[in-house]
Amino acid sequence: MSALEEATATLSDVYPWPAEPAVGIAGSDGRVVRVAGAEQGPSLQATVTYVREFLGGEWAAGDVAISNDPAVGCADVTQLTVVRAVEGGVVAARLRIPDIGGYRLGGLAPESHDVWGEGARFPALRVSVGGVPVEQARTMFVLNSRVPDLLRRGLEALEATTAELAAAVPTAEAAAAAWAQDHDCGVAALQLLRPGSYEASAPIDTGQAGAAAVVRGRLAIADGAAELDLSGSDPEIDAPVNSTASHTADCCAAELAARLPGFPATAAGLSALTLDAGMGRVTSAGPRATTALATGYTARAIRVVVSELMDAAGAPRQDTDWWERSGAEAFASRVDTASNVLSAERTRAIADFADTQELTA
Amino acid sequence: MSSHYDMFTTEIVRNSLDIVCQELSATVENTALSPVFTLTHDYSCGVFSAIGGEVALLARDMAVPVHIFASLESVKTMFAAFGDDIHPGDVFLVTDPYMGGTHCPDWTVIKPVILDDDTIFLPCVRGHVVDVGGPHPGNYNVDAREIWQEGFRIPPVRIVARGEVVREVWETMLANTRMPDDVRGDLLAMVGACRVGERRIRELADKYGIAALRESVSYILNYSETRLRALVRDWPDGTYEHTEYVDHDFAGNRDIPVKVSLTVAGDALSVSFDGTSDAVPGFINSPRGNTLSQVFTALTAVCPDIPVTSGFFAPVTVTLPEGSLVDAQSPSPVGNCTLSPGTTIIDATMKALEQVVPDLVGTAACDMNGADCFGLNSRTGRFWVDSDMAASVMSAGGAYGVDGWGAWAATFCALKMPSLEMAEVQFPFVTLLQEYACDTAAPGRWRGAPAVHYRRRNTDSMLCTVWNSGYRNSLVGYAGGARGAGNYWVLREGAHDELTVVDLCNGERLEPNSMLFSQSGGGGGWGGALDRDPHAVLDDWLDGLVSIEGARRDYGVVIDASTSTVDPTATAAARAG
Repeated sequence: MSALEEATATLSDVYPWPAEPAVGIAGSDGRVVRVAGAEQGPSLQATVTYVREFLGGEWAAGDVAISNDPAVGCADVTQLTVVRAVEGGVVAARLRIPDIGGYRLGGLAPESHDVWGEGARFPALRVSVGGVPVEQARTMFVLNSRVPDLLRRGLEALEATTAELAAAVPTAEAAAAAWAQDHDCGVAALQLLRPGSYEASAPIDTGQAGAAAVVRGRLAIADGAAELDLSGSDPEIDAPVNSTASHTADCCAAELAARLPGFPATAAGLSALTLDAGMGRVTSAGPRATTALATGYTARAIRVVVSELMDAAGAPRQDTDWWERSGAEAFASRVDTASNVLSAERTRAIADFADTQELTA
Repeated sequence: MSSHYDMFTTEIVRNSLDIVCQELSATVENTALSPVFTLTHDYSCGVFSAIGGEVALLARDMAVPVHIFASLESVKTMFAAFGDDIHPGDVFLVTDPYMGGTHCPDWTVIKPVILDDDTIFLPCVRGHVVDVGGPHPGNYNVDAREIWQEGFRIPPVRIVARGEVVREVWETMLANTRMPDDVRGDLLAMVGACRVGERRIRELADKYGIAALRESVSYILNYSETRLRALVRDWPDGTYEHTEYVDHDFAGNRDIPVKVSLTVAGDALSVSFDGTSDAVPGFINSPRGNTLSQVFTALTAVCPDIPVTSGFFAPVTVTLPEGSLVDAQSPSPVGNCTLSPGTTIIDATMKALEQVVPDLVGTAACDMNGADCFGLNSRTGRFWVDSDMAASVMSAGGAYGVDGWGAWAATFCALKMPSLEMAEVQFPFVTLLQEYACDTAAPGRWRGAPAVHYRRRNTDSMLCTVWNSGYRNSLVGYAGGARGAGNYWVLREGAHDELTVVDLCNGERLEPNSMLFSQSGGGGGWGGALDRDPHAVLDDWLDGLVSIEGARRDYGVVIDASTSTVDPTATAAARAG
């Protein structure tokens, strides 16, 4: 088991429910070259890129920043990413946290008209500087959760994991080579598709009347280049199914990896094609949009579209139906799909677990 | 007071600090961006000190009392959080209602001015920013049952470190507002004002020396304390009680009691809220800082010529039952606390004071109707949210010797009526009516201000949330004066789906050309209406504030409309009857 896989396994134990951990390691240029856990390579890259660029010259080894903002990489506000600056690179780790305020526990608030109803946003806030904890940042973070101790637990686990992974950061040369390899693998995998132009669409089925939007995709393979265009999808809607461009990229990368042998579900792999998620579409939500259910319903629609495009283009592997295989079960463990709020089972689990934690707020 | 004070210097310093506060306020007004700051003046400025570990309010501008008194708690919280980790050039901010705040949108900016190891002055600005995230634009979430449903919570944080903006903290705060450009501008104005305050305080220190400033602080605090003790010493000892009621908690609970027991003992006062309701599910719970502010608003209103400093607070002990409506604990929702139960806290305190100093009491509370509208402005393409304060401009009541005047009462005395024209420029509606309504003034020997009727036509589609209180338990009257007229709203006035709101509605759609109407009832009257000078009633009739029928019904005054005179014989008969 690799260090990243071990780290993912460790993070899986932070909460007594699936917390969808993901980890990634980047070299000194900030490009994420190794990932493990949940299929979130491209969006981890987006978060790492934003944190590095926002903090700029202030960002130095020993710094640890948190980010949960859908506008800069996460799929929704309950995905917490910790980004750690280490000598020669960056380590990132992500967990789904139980709560970050907003209308309802768990960030699932179908009555919300914008992201602020789903919870608090933290674009890039350092919780440690030069290895020294920044208490005001930590307090501000946990103060905005109904379960501050559980949040602190998740944060500490992510910090510990990223610290352990510091030793796994590759040299600049190794990182560059890894990125190039993934990119080349992506290019090679796309060569397996028949040249042509293909179209597909799928509704976002929430089980609720009136909330549906449609994801539309067009795949063009020509002259050794591939272009996946989702910009024809419906505009973002007043329902929590809007997918950020980063999350859309995750979905596309995951489905391509499932259908094309050798395609890496990473940012480097995805760089082998041109992906256009659109602007202000249900596949490219703006910073105000509600996104809480995108990892379920919208991910399903995006993957169906990509899968159908793969079918049309002659992808060698058969559709394994991610939703039937694992997506639906994972989603239903968190979401009451009849009401689209946090499931009663998960609510009880959070309450029970919170009761066992020492109150430190 | 000790005799070694240089009285001239201390008086100069005291007045200089008042001027510093005025300059802070002018700086904010002239540099902030959002109308809630620039037009409505929903912010307050003060100067605090921390000497020998004691934090004190020294001076304030013509401030919103609920802001500036509560800021004392914020400054204390900031010191508790950062202790010795405070450096020249630092600026701090705190908003959390349970850490010295009131409700989430009230942001307090504090700039320590370190003169020596044990002498710190703190210019401070507390202002109501237009939005702090959470489920409801504008943050008056009538559905809130816990504080996380009311907006982003900010504990004491350093927002400027040794002169350098802590960029990531600013961006985090601004990521949690729907109006980041406005809030950034307002925050910069608050920080800028505190920097102006620092400059002026250092000039004072340079001119008079730190020792003189310390002596002045001692004098300032002692002076207020001594004055209040001298006044209270003349009040009759005893315990005076009153229970006032909040209409509802927006969660189905009605007539919620706020009980005040005011005890005068020698030169000291104690105010107990034993017997007040427990905290309630709806968003009207009052954290400690807010409750203290409301109590002191009432007390300062009956002692108008004593400088309001921490010295004023020294003879007063306030007892708040923990977990009650007036000392709410996290995570109770508190979004509406400054209005309700704030108004009721003031009313109950003032009614207890009525039994002690009846000639000094009057409406010091604020009206309790409010509404937020929000949507996309078709002219600008931008999201907008507005708490339409033009609809709630009234609350003044009668006091001994004077009728209720046309403005907010003491608790919001620094607020300004917003310009209707500017509002029309910035928001998608047109104001059609804003005027006194006939026969709505609370009768009394000195009547309350009449209610204001307000009507506007919306020019875009928008969502409207109304949080209304004071419909049944309207602003109280004193010494036999009647209550104010009370508040209500009418949405989509005149349309087939017209909706009258006396408590709340949430997210009601208003289409272009729809009408929005409100009545904002004035404050209570003072004294019996039959004691009102008949010629004052005649004047009110000539001004259109009372009808012929109203004059007879409410005041027993018979007016001959043909001659525009009072009929003395008929009036005497009516009053005798």
